Amino acid sequence: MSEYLENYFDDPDVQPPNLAGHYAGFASRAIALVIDYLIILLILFITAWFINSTATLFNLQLLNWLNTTVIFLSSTAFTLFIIYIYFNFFWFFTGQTLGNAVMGIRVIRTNGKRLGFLRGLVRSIGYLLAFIPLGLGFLWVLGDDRRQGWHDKLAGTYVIYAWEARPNERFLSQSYLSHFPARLVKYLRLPPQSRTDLIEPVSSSGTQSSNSIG
Amino acid sequence: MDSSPSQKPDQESNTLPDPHLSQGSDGFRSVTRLVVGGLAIGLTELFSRLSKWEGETSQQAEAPSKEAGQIFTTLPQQDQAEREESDSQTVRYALVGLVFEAQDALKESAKTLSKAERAIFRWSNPIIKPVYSNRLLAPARRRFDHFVERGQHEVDRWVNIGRQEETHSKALTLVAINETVDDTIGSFADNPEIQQLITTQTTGLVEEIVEEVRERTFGVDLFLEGIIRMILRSKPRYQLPSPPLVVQNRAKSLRPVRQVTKIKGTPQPR
Repeated sequence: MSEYLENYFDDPDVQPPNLAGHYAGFASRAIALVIDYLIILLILFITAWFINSTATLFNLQLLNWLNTTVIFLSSTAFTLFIIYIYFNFFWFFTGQTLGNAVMGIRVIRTNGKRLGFLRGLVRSIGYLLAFIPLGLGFLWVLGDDRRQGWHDKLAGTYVIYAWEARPNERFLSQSYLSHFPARLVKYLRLPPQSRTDLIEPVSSSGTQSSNSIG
Repeated sequence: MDSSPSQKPDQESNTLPDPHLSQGSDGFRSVTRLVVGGLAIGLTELFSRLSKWEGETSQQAEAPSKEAGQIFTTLPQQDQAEREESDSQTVRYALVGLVFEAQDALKESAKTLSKAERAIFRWSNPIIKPVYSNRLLAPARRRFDHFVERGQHEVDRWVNIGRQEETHSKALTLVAINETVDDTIGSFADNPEIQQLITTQTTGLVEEIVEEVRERTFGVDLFLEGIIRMILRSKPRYQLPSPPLVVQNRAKSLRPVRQVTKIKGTPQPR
């Protein structure tokens, strides 16, 4: 592995490591979150349209009946409820929301188990806490050794790459990296491939599985 | 073929009874209508496209285009002159020239015939007119006029039928074309092999796009983090420990994989 790390900038034949199962980075997570919020917005829009259409159909004057405060509070509560349901449903059953699935990342507990609904609630609250100080809790991912945001630390979760994470070939090319300062290039090096490259999964019948992670 | 003059007859056909259409549509009549409609629509399309292509060719000849990917380009005159023509090419050019020359000659002949017809009428009219207006020939002239009138009436009837039938034939042909196209598309859509081909290609394209986005985002992940870690003077990522194996094994599936692992090079457990 160390041989690989020394050579992969110079040798064009060296394949970049497969970082499936490693901590997912900030950009992947941010894009996944944006996709998720767009989907939630769509759900809320459709729901609002449905409620409005139903009220119009039955000639109900909802806005006359309810005062502004009640409408604001109920809308906020409903939005938070939808967000909680959306995220926790997917975290519990697949570990991936739709945005996560597109970006190929997965949320799991630090012990490798799936998130329960209670832990999901804690993580959802963690989203709010991370957002309040100008998103510092999300930006924490950039500097943290395990790429955990505040919400991850609060709920005890990791976000990992669920695909065979490899960078774009252009990113690794020597000519492209030559545009950056040498000191930065040192920090741009890929992490070593995990020890799973030394471990081959074997099915219980004894035959080797081709679905190796490493 | 179906220009503005046909609008008036169309209006007339709406008001007049339609004896031929009311006769029902047996198979032979429908085939005839289909042929007439096909010819009418086909010729209209052919002439409109021909005039369009002619216009484009003329424009191209006046201002040769140098756009990339253009199939036909106008050769420079000098190059054309320098090209040596083989005998077969010369004969071919001669034949093509003959065809166009014959067409021009036919047009000229038609004009000459028309002039001759008018001249004959001018010369013969003073001779024939006294005979024609002779009282002794009045009964014969009346019979002749009546015969002409009947002939004219018959021709008018044909024209009326033609107008109605052409409209009907065009409509029938359009319906036939649309239905044929719909049926063809329907058969394509119902064909499982074609469905599979489209699905596979679409899925493949989406997968490629997603893969590309992921790869680029992965690069951005490393880049942003690299900058921050450099500023914070913390350890580069490659010096940090990897996630625990139990975490890494969840990359493919959230459910724990029921499998045992072996270290490379060690005997496989039985």
